[in-house]
Amino acid sequence: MAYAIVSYMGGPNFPDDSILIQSCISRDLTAWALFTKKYSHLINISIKNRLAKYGFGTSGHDIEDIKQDVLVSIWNERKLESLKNHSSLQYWLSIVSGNAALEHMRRLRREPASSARSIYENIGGSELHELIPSRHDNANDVLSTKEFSEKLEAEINSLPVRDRLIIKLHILHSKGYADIADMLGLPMGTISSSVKRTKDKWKEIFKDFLQ
Amino acid sequence: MAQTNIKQKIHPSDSELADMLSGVVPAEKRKIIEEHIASCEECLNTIVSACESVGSAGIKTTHKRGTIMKKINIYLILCLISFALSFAFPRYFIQFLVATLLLGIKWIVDAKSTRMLVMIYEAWKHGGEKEASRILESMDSGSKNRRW
Repeated sequence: MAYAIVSYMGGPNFPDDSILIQSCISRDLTAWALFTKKYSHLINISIKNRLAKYGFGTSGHDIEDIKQDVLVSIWNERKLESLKNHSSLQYWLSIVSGNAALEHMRRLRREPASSARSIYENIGGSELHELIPSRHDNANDVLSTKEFSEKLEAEINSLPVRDRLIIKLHILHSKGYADIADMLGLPMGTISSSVKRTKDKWKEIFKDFLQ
Repeated sequence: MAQTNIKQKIHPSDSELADMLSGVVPAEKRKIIEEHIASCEECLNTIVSACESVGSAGIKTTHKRGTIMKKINIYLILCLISFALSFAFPRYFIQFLVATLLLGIKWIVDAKSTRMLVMIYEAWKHGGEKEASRILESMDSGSKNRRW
């Protein structure tokens, strides 16, 4: 296996993930060096991204510490052995890095720089105007009312599982139809009709609620 | 986030979430994971964050790309080889030319854009202009909405 790795070293590309993982599981240090080099950037981005989502301010020093923790735990705890599908490596690594970042912050008892916002505050203004036939100039004013927030949350929770997931990704996480389709492995037509169905339903519900 | 049981209140493991994003989980398991993440903000944040990070890192997925390239180009390559051979072996000129033609047709029929046109035509034939417009709109919104 080591031979396969070494034979790739001279080439412009890194070896196939599957070979790399197998070699790392076999404790091949050359393969491990290649692995860390190839995925260092992804780990950095995953740490920054996850911490930013939770409102943590980060320094380069923190990120480097967390990255070292991630790599050490993958190697020492032989975590790659738990990865059944090697094609999922990038997502797995990103998830592991993000979780390690949050764990690191918890260990240090750090608080987010900005207090974590309610997820409903993340809804974009343009989406709201589309969604709510509001008499208010600023739909966010409506959203900030406790009663409305509760109603919206109840409506989201009452949706069928797939529709709920799609609308959360689209409205709360600002994901486009193509991104959601990729993420859930569904056709784009299914995503667009689900969003349309939910928006039509909500337009009616919130019309009665607001007037 | 490291448990393997995926009941409603127990988080899926990291590798289960990753497999879901890669599209390699069986339908039944996918359904259970979807049920969980539809009501778990933490897991939803995890998968959104992972997708964004992998998208931003822009690492080449050589395995997938290799397969796609093979699918796209194999008939085109064979078509060109056959065309070149028709000149190299004038005795079998017609045979190679016919092979070139057949491979060329196969390449065109297999191309994504051709399949898309066939899909739109089928939609138009069965569902009328409205259905065809719906497909076109979804294609259009897909290209506009691509952000990662």
